[in-house]
Amino acid sequence: MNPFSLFLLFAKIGFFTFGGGYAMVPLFQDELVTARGLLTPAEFADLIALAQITPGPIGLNAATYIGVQQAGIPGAIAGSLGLTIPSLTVGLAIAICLKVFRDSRVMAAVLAGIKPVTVGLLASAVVFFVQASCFAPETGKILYQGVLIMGIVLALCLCPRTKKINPAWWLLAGAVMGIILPG
Amino acid sequence: MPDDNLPSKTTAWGRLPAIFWCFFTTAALTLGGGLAMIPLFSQEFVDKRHWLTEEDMLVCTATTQSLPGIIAMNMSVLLGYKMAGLAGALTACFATLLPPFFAIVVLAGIFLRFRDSRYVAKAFLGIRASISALIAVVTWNLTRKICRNVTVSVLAAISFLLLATGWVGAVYIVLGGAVVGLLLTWLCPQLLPSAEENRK
Repeated sequence: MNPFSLFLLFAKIGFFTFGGGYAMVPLFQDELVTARGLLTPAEFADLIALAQITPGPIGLNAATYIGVQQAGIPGAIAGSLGLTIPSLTVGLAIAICLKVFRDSRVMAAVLAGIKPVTVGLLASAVVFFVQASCFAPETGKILYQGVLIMGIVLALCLCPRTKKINPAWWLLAGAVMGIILPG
Repeated sequence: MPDDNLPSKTTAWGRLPAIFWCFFTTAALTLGGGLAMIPLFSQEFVDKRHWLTEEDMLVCTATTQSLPGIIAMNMSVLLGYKMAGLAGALTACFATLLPPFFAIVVLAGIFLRFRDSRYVAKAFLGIRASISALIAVVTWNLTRKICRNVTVSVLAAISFLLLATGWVGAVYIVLGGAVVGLLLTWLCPQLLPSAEENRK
């Protein structure tokens, strides 16, 4: 993809994501993997993991990475600027007339519908990620190592003693387990 | 600290270097971005410099989550504008953009080169499994917070099926959600979770 179409693609994703962070994941997945086939499911899962362990917002990291991969530095600039356009237009407009927006009943109504939809989209991303990490890409065989690591991290995230720890550490732990566990 | 004694005498332009530096370092140091940045901004601009109030931070936190786009960017634009107008918003936005940009450009180069090495491949298998668990936990927490009654749960289930089966693109599902939200609020608001249900 050329820088201009990368810019448009990420601007589009930006305008339709509410809540930031992981809420962007299903939209990225739909546009990049399902609709355009730019990445395989496994590559996409790696990209989101990389975006999470790198400083900065996940969405911005992912867009910059795709930009580099598709069109080098100009692509990276186009991708990250595209994703910034909603903040620079809608965000700035709202900053200028914040009071009107806060009391807006239209916006509250729109969000009442978008919030549950976001939950549904994220649930679909979960299915996608579990597939990408528990099954071998071509053969479809179960990767027991992936299932085991996922179970361990899930338990650590839900255990009251360890759930407050920054998730980036679990990704690091996952990498270590991936190397030392027999697979 | 001289800053503490003369907070409001700084002009908007005089604030730009400090705004740039604080947003730049915060973006460089917070993993995952978004709401994790709030305590750092609050410490710098509310407690230390008094350029913003607690109230400003609260309003910004609430507003930024109902805007489209990246939370960290929206927050930069809102806070930057509040402190130093348009120049402040652009400065904060640019400062937030820089660290991830350089980190990723460097990292992508390294990653694309070593992707096929055996140990890197094994490590990424583990990372992929961990990120799946993390996204599952985020989704579960969000489900408990948002799916308060039958209507919204059905709405979530439908959008799950539409995207998982690949019938409808994600952008159209979000648009559909907005329309359904508007229709429900105006035609039969009793179907949506009440303020009480949302507080539980």
